[in-house]
Amino acid sequence: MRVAVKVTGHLIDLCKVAHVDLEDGASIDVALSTLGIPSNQVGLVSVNGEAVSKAKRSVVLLKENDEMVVMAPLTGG
Amino acid sequence: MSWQGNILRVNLSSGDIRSEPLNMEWANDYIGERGLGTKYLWESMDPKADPMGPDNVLIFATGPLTGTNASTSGRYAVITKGPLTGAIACSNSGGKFGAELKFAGFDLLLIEGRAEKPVYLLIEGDEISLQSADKLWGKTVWETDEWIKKTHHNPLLKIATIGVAGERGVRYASVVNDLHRAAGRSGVGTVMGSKNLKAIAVRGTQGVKVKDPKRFMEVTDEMKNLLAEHTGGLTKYGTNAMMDTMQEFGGLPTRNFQEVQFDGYDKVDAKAMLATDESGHTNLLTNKACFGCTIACGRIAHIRKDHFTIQNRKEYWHASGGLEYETAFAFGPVVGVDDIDACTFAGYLMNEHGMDPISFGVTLAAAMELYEMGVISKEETDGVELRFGNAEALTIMAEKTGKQEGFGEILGLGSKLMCEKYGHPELSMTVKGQEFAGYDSRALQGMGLGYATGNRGACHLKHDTFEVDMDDQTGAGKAEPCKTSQDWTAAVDSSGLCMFTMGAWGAPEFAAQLDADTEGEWTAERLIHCGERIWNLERMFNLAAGLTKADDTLPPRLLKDPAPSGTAKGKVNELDRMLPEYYDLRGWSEDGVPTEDTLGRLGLG
Amino acid sequence: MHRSLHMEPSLCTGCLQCEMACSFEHEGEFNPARSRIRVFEFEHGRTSVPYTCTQCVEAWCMRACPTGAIFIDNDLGAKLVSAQACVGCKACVSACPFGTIEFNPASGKVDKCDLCGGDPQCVKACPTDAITYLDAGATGIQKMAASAQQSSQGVTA
Repeated sequence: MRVAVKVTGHLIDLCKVAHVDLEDGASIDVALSTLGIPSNQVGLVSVNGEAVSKAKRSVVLLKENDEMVVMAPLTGG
Repeated sequence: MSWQGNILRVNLSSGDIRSEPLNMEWANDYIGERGLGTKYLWESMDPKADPMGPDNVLIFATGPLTGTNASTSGRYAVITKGPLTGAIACSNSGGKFGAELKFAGFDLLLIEGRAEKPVYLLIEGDEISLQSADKLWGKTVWETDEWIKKTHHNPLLKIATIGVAGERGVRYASVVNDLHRAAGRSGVGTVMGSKNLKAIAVRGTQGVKVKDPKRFMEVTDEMKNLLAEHTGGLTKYGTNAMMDTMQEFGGLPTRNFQEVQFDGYDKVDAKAMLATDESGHTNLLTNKACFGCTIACGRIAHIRKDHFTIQNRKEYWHASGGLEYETAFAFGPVVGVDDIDACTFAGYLMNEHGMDPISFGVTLAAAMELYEMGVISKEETDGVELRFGNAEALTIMAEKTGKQEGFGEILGLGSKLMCEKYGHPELSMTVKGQEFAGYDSRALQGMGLGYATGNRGACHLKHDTFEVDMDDQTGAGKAEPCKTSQDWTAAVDSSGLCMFTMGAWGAPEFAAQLDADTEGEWTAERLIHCGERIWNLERMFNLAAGLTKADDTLPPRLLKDPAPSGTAKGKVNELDRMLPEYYDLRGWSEDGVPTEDTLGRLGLG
Repeated sequence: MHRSLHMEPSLCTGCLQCEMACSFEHEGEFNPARSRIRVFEFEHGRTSVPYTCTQCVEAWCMRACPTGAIFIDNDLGAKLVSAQACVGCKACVSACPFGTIEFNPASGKVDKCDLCGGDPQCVKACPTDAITYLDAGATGIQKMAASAQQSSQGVTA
């Protein structure tokens, strides 16, 4: 299945693609690992606008045409 | 060791200038910089004094690591009672000025009274004097910097100065050093102006020594390597790398916090700064470091020469400080503007005239909302259409406020006084009179608690709940990380180093550097304990100044109007849930007053 | 191999770690005023340029010195100052066209870059490689390579 991907902040240097092809029912963790983005460098993942907490990244499964946004962590400034 | 062992006390009323020994007991209990300055402030003035009167005290404080080769060792703090808030004001800055104070032999400057006529303080090694500023009063920050260096034939002077905004009492006037670094918030520049002190120029030739040089060099080397692995996007993109994250998250305050996402965000974010347009112009030129800093998050930018703001104004065709996240938020989303050149120009004006971009932008946003409601008329705004999205309104008003002309005099009051004046206090997006930064606390809940309880008013830098706030958009479990990070940040702010190292270094890393640097044994525990002490002393100052639990709150918009979009859509800030838990964790009463036990434990009883 | 310090301003962020490393090496304290390498900023920091003695082969400072206090370390190619022979007359300070030898009021002698005996500390301290210590006969090689890349269609030399 194909999932749309958007990254924010400096994660643009780690991930330059706009889609990722995954096995059906892949979890967010699997998607991140396929994209080569270490989970501990991610502030938040949202799927179709809904935030997914870290604890649920291994559990929330993606579907065809989902829109996944991988957000960089926030700092001050 | 690390300290020069001297403070400089300047009484502007009498003209008396004297060097005194640094109080080492206070340095050891309060670390330095923010903590030490707060202790000196507490001991030197009545917290009830008028912030713009002669009894307010103005302190410039370095940390024990300022001026060493630890990375980010350029930090210093300006501490006083803030005219914007009536609370303690502690504003942090980088650049080169702070380190130069150390090299001149001073750990801290303490300025009292008020000069009868405008003066500037000149420190050239051991030659220290108050000079007449009659030729400087009315000059911009940049003109002042140039004039002083030229007049004294000393290009190596480092200069901290106010602009006309500070001279004329803009409530959020800043102190700008090294042309485009600033102690920006709470009106520390306003205090300087109220004392008729235009600038401080310093040049020093003494070295900073450390306790254990061999170990210090090893430790700072190791820490620099660690830091290099954890700067995230700061070096390449600067802090404005956060804008698209805030947009996707749904916490980007837009049009005076009416919304939490801005469709023009990608015209003013870090990527937009790097993009080359059809004319071949790129906003960002290069990055820049403060003294000692191996991150180099500073931005140097330039404006398109044919842009409406500067096409006939060659004096602005040069490069200068570019957009950081807060400046971009304050001149972009919160006022609805998506013109990167207009935002950059407004940023230039903030440094040239010496004003806090956050407070100006959020004040302008409130004025725009009032204008669109029909409460403020075009006659009052000098014929300018003060509508959200009007880039011309942004830049014209930034300049008018800097120079205190026309409607700029109203904007210079800050949003709290302005909104009260127009009968709509609820539109002032402030806490304790200070405007919010670019994080909406309906989306970032712990940030809301930090804003509400921050000792200098709404401030995003005095706590760090970003990680838990992103992971959980409720108020649950936010009190503890807020309190812990407030204490820890107070310690970092007191060390002389920059908080942008906090992603790489925790308490053990800071302790290792301090322990090789300065007298005494420094451990992680001791640092954190000092941090808690500092936080509570700031609180005590505020309580003595007359602030109460009622001031630990958020505006109705954040407590009642749900976020209209984003990952926190439908949410309001859960302050009423977090605050009692927070007070309890702090060891404070239900009224937010530190208990005897707490004060005793911290040595503040 | 003779090496030279090479400064690349486009990489310099103005952090001044080099100034601290230099003063620490020579004076045991962090004191940019006593650094033999200095960073200069132009146009509000648009350009930052580290600058120091270029170790002239026929050095004006050496020629100007009336006591022979300035001599060559043949291994390094560095011009060094003998503190014993230096009388602090500052003839070298006037003679150097580049301003890179300077009087030190605290010691009464002059200071200049001595390449730290072949292990320049500024190079180690620089976080961006704006300062490197290269083959003295090939310091321009990167620039030449960049030009060569632009000239891949052919060049008349």
